[in-house]
Amino acid sequence: MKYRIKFSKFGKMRFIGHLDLLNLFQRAIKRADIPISYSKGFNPHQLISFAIPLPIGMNGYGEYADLNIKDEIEPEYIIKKLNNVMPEGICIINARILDNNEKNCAAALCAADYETDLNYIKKDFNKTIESILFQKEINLEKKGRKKVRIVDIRPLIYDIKVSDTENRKLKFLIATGSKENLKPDLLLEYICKLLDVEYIPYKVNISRNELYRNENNKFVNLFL
Amino acid sequence: MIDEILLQVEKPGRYIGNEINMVSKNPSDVDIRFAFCFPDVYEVGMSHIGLQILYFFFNRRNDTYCERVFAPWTDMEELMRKHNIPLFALETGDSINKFDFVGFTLQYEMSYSNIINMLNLAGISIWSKDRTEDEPIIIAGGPCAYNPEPLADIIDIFYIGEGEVNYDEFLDIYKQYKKQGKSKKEFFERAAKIEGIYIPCFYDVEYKENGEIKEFKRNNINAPKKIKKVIVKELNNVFYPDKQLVPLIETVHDRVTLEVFRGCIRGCRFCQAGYIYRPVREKHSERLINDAKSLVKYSGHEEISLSSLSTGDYREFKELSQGLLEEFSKKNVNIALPSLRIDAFTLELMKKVQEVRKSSLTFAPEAGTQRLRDVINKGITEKEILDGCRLAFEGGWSRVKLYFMVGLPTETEDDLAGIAKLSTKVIEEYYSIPKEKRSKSICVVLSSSCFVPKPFTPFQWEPQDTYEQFLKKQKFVKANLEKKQVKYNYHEVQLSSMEGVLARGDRKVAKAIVKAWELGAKFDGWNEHFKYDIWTKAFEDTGLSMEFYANRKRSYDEILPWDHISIGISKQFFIKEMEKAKKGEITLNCRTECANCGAKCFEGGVCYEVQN
Ligand code: SF4
Repeated sequence: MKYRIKFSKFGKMRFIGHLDLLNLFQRAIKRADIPISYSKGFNPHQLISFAIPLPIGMNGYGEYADLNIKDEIEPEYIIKKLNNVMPEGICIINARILDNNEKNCAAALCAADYETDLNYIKKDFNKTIESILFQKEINLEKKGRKKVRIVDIRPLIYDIKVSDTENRKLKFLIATGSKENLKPDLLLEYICKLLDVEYIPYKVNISRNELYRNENNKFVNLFL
Repeated sequence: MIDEILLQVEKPGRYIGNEINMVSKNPSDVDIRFAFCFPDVYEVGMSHIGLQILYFFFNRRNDTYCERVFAPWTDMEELMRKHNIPLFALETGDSINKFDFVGFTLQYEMSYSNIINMLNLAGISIWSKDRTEDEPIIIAGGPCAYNPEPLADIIDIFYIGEGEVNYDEFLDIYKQYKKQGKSKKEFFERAAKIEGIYIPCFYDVEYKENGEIKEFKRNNINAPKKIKKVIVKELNNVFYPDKQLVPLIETVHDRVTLEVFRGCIRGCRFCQAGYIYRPVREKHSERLINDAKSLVKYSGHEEISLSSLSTGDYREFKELSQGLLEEFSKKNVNIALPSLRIDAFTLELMKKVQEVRKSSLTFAPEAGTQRLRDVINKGITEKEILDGCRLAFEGGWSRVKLYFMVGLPTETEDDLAGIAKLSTKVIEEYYSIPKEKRSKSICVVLSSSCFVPKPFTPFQWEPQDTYEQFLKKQKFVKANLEKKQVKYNYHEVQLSSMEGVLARGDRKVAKAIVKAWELGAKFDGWNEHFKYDIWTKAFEDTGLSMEFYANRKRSYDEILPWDHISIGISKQFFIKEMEKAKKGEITLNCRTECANCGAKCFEGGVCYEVQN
C-alpha cells in the first residue's frame, strides 16, 4: 500500500542536508515500528521517496514523501507514530493513501511556492519586483560544466509579488521538478542585480511553503 | 548571528545538537554542569563508544547535566573567532567557560593540539596554574591518560581507569564542596584521596642534567604515592545505556555498538591497549542480546557492531552471533563482524551477514617472519594465514588485506623481505586451487604502519626508528614485492614519528605542545592539516629534543615519566617480557596459561575464570 506524507522541516533541521534527511526518516520509521516495505537484493533498502530535495538552509513547510507500507494502516496512525520519534524541527502534517494510478510525488511535481525576505538590502524594492512579470524574457547566463549557456527564466516564473513591504518580503511561484526547474537562488540573484546590490545567500531566510502538480492546467498541491 | 554563521560553513549539522536521544535538562535545575569534550571533529567523536556510555552515565544523575563539545572544523573556528563566539556546548548552546567541569577524552596523542585550541576558543586559561576559581576544572581520561605527563601542566585532574567506577563518588564530593563554598585546592586535596584520581600539581619533578627524571616527589600529603587505575570488576552488573545518541548527519560509524568485553588475553608486546585494560572481563551473551534489542529499538540503526579488542576470543561468541542473527536477520538489521580468526564456522557466519563478492578478509600478521612474530608475541603462524586464505578463496572471497608494522624491535632485512614474501605466498596459495573451485580474481592489499613504542608495554624502553629509517624500510618492502596483484599502502611516517615523541613524553613536553599550537598546529591527526615542520620548530624553540623522547634507548632503571601510574602490571613483568622478546620466546595467552602479570590484584575477570 502506498502512502503520501506531507511534512515540515524547519528551525535547526534546516541545516540538515537531503541524504541525511533520508537516513533520518529511515531510522524514524524503524523506531516507530512502521511496517515499511524493502527493496529486493542483498542490501535491501526501505521503499521511501521524496518529492525533491530541500536545499540546506531553507525552511520547508509543505514537503512530501511517498512510502510503501506492507499492511494497510490508518494514515492518522502513521502521523502519530512518526511524530513521536522525530526530532524537533520535523513534523508530519498529514498523510493519505495513494491511488494505484497516481504518479509518485517526484514525478507529479511541477511548481513550488517560496517566500523570502531581502531585508538586508535596505532598499525600496516594490517597483522592481512588480516589473518582473511584465518582462517578455529574462535571459541569464547559466554556467554549466563546460560552457556558459543563456537561459530565459521568464517562462519559469508563474507569479511573484511583494508580501510585506516593511520587512521586504516577497513570494514567488516558480517551476520546480524534473522537467522544468528554476532555482530560487538564481531568481534572487537576478533581483539583486536589478537593485544593484550584492546577493548574499546567508543573509536571506527562504521558506518553501508548498509543492504543486499540474491538473488540467491548474496548480494543485501534492497532497490533494 | 549563529544561524548566519552556520549557513556559511561546511556541514552545519556538526554544531546544532538536537540529535535523537539527546538529553534535555534545564541548567538551573542541576548542581553540576559538565562539558564532555572530544578533541576532534563531530563525526569522529560521535562514533566513539566511550562518549556514548559516559554521556548517559553522567546524565542519569539528576544533579548533573553533561553536554557535548567537539573541535569545530577550521572553517567554523575562523568564523567563531571573527565574531567572538566562544566554544559552546551542543545541548544548550551555552559557552563552556562557566561550567563546573570541562572534561577531555584522550584517545590519541595527535589530538593534543586540539585540546589547547579548544581551551583557548572557550576563553579558558591554558596553563593549570593560571586558572582562577571562576574557571572550570579541567579533567581528562582515556587511554592516553595512562601517560598523563605531557599534559600534566595543562589538565587539573586525570581520571585513570574506567569512568563507571568512581565518577559518582567524585561528583558527590564536588557537589558537597561547591555547596560549602570550598576552594578548588580544598576540593583537589579531597579528590586526590579517591582511587584513580591523579592531580599533577601535587607532585614535583626534578631532572638530571641529561634530561632524564631524577626524582618524582609528592608535595602534598593528601596525594597518593602511586595512582592505581580503577576498573569495573563485574561487567554484567555495570551501567550500559539502553539508547544511543543518533546523529543527524553521517558520521564515521552510524550503528549500534555492543561492548562484548574489556581487555585482551593475547599480550601482543607492542599493544598498549592489550595491557592497560587488563584483565579481560566479559559480558554474558544474553545481556548483550538484550542490550542490542533496546539499542536498535531506540536508535533505529540498521547495523550492529561488536566492539572489543579481539572479539573472536569471546567465549560465548557462537551464542552471541547466532542469537543476534536469529533476532535481527528478519528485521533488516545487519551484523558487522570484526576481523576474526578464519575457520569453517566464521566463514559460514560471514557468508550469512555480508556479500562475499564485495567484502574482503583481513589478517594482521604484523611481522613478516615467524621469528619476529615470536618477538612481538603475535600468536599467528604462516600456516594459519595461508589455510585461512585457502578457505576464503574456496568460499568465493577474492580480496585479502594484510596488516604489518615496520620498525619493530630486533627487525632485520629478512623480516622486511618476509612481508613481501608472505604476500607472494598468499597469491601462490590462490593459484594452487583448481580454477573451478576458487574465486574469479585475486587481490592482496598490503598495509604497513610505523611502530610507535608505547608506555606500559614491554617495548616502552625501546628506541623508535627515525624518520629516515622508516622511509628506507618502506622502500625496501616495496622493492621486494614480486606480484602485480599486490597493492602496497603505507602509513604516513611523519605522523608516527610525532606520535612517538608525544607518547613517551614527560612534563617538559607541554611547552612544545603549546608552542606548536601557537605556530598553528591543529587537527594533527588529519593528513591535510598535519605539519611536521611546525612540530620540529616547536621543539627547537622550546629547547627540547625530539630524539630524546622517540629514538633513545632507555635503561631499565631509568625513572619513566609514567612510573607513578599503576595499571596493576608490575614493571618486573614488562622487563621479563622484554627479555623474552629478545630471545624470541613467546608468552601464552591468559586463558591457556596465566603469566602472572600482576593484574590479578583487581580481583576479577580472566584471572579468576575456571581454567579448563
Ligand atoms: S594475572 Fe594472569 S590471567 Fe590475569 S591478566 Fe595477568 S596474565 Fe592474564
